[in-house]
Amino acid sequence: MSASETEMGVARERATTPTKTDTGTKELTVEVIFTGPFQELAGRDQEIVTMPTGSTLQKLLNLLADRYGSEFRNYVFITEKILSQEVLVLVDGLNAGSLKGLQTKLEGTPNTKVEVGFLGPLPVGG
Amino acid sequence: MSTTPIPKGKQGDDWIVTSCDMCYNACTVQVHTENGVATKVEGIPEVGPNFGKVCAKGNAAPLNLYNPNRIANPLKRTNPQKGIDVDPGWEEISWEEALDEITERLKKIREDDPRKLIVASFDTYSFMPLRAFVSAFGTPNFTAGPAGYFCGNGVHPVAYTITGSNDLHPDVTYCNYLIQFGSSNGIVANANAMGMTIELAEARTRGLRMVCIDPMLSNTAALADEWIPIRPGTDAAMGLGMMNVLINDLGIYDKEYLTNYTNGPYLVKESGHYVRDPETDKPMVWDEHGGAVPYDATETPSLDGSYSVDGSPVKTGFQLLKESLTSYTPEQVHEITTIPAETVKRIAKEFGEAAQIGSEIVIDGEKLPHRPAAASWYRGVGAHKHGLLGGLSLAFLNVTVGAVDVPGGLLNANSAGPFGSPQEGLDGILTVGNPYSHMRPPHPLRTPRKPQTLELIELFPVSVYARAMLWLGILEQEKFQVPYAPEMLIQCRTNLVANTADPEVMEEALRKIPFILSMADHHNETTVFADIVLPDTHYLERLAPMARNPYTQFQPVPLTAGHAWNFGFQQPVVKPFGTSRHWLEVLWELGHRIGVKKEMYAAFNATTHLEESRGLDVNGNYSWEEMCDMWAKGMFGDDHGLDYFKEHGYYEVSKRTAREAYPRAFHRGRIPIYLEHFLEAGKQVKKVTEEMGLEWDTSSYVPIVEWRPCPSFPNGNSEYDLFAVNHKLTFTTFTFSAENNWLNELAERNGKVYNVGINASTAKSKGIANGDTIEIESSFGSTATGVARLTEGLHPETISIPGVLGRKITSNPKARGKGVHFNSLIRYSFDQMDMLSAALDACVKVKIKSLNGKAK
Repeated sequence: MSASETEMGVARERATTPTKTDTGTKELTVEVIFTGPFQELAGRDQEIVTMPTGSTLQKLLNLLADRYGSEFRNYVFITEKILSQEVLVLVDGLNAGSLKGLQTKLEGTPNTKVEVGFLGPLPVGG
Repeated sequence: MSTTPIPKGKQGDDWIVTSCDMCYNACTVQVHTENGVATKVEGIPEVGPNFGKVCAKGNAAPLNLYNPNRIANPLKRTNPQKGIDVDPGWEEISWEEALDEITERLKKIREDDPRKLIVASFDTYSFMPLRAFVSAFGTPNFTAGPAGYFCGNGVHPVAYTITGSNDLHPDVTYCNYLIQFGSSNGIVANANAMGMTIELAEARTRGLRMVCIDPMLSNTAALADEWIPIRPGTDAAMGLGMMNVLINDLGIYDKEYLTNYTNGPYLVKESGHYVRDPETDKPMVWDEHGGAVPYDATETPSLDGSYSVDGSPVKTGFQLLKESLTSYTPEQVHEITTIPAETVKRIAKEFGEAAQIGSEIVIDGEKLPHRPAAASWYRGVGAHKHGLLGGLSLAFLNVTVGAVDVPGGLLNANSAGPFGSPQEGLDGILTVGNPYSHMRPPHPLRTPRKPQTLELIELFPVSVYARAMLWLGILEQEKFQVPYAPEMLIQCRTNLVANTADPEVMEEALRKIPFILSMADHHNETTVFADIVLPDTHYLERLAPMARNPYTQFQPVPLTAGHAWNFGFQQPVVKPFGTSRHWLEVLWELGHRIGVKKEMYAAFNATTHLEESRGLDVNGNYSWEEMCDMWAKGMFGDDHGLDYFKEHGYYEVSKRTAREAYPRAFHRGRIPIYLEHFLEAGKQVKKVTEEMGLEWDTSSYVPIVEWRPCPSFPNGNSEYDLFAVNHKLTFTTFTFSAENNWLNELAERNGKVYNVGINASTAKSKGIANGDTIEIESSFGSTATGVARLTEGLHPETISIPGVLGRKITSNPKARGKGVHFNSLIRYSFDQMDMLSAALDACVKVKIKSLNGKAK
């Protein structure tokens, strides 16, 4: 995906063809759903990723960041090991922040759904 | 969770316990009703955070409730022309009609680009449900109204830096010497207003010495042992001068604290960056027993000194700070601040000696360092072109004597509590440990990038927000390359035009937004720009969950060990006026109407940090009341749901422990007194803005704190020879209290409200007499008229203008035309911004003259 394709106005698309990202004896199909600004950053609203069962959320998000570029990465991560406060990642409907954060293992059977969404800044002032 | 029985108030059929909302402090109150009419507001002596005390605003709450100018029904504009003096041509419509139109607009915007929605509110209790709504909608554009213009910009990033929480307060319970740099602790203002007022009054009786450094003899200064007038915008120079005296002249500094709890020992190369271990990339220190080692590999790092590593000269961060401070001799500080050099030396010495470096105290069985000296600040320091550097300078004054997060010093608001405590983060630097703290902390550094938000927060990586940039982002969207233009503003109980800055600029910005929804209980200078107005409830009519939540920002935290973590709800005391509805409940309904319920519930669960099993089921369906019940039970257990709060009004989770109140000795996160991350931030911002072709000043990203002059700092003979300063009134909150009859009567009787303070000698030199009508002209070209009040309680270079007065619209008859509107005098422009924190410089130079010829 080139940078220009992620700019505004590009029609959202769905990647329905599984994208093999790793090989392993037990592979997991991860359905990734993008919401909010991540649809624009990724240029699509969902895709399928396959990766070894037990891979961490960090590995998945890094893979996506490699694919979609620095802007996507900067939106998701503060540092390599710290998730941005403005991203809400749901793993099978559960907030990754209340699981094990980036170290949450993806091991649903047979599929796992990961939603990468927007968590607005806490509307505080002061 | 504690289940200890807690004292009740006077609950009964005619007394209901709720949380006050006349400012953001949410005091516990009980309200008496007679025949369905609220007649009296009292506190409950045993219950915090106000322990039975209620301020003037709290007492006067029923007068806002029964304001005859309240809005009864939804209103729709019929006149497309917009302006403060333009009649909107309001036409009453039904709620269904209003909500249908709003829903349709929101759906279209969300489908097109959700970022085109802006939401504005400063209702602190609303932040979590509101975050759920804006997250579900998908907009990053939020503004807190006036807050974040010239308020906490020089406080919150600093508070995160030194404690890991958003706010700070002096530990007056154990403090013996308190310096207030223009701040208002203890005069029914600032966070935990009543609690601090009670604590400080007791401390003053015990013998705490209070010094106020302020251009004016403020309400705080009037209660102090000593008032030291200072030229506006120069507090940082005073703080740095005191540090210079303490460190370089007197040798009074807490070496142990600085060595163990700051990055002072980190070795710095000539490039300004840390010396890093080639294997681990960790910053290195100089081991007193020889050689450079990673910071966590020795118990004996050198705090100061110059060394050589791999043949290159290096110094410790503290050494560099020490050397830099030599620029702030007492004589130089006098030139900048006008404070006599001898006073600078004396105050520094008094402060340093009061800190009792090396002393200890036992609290709750914990032996802790005792540093009973603190320096506090707020808007007076932060509302300047270099407000963030100013706040950091005063923070490091406290750090110098080891008086941060220890008894007697300057304390975190809620960095440590039942939820956790600060931690050691990247490079050993202190990082946030409170999961409820959702501001953007300045460390670790966020990567600057091309703006996606209208406030351009992406270009302010060491700030917690960039609120004041939002309207400039709207007005100059193309210049800042924000990839969309706003379509709609939802403004909830704010008055953006009067409370922010430069009403003409605000009006222009509001006119650029095609559709504005206001939710308000009475009209103000901002609702007159709305396309639809929905009538909001008064706090005595509404159900608001967690109206007091001390785990979060801007809420009354337990001030010291032994005070309780006290949560409160607001609940209806009387029936709503007309068809008014609580604005937040309306947004909750709109979230359902526009089809983002699932996303809203998920974001709600994430932001409230409810355990998954106790959060909202994203496939469920929750009314406002049901959500309130779920939230309370999720936080406090099944016995403490909505029914519990309806009966009690509040819940005390536990008492704050010594470890929670004074966490410094219990975590390893270091305070970065050498701001290495600023260097990197500056480089990155420069790169991004250059790529964008933007002119952007990055010169403030310096690794060592310094005082920098505001543009208005005297630089020769100017006809604009006076500073206008704005100050707090204890009985007003923004503009919404101005229409209150009781508070208005207080203002009229006070004698220092509806006029302009002028130093008596200065006035005499200009031929101005007490009571003269004067014209004030700012160097930015705006003018105002006021009535002169001559006083010795002002720095001779200043005039003082209180609160947010000088109101303009006809539907506020009590407030209209009284006093001077300070915000009209300042300029709201890019060149007035602090490029670190996006604070708007409230420094304004003026010239004045008498208009009525009374001058002698």
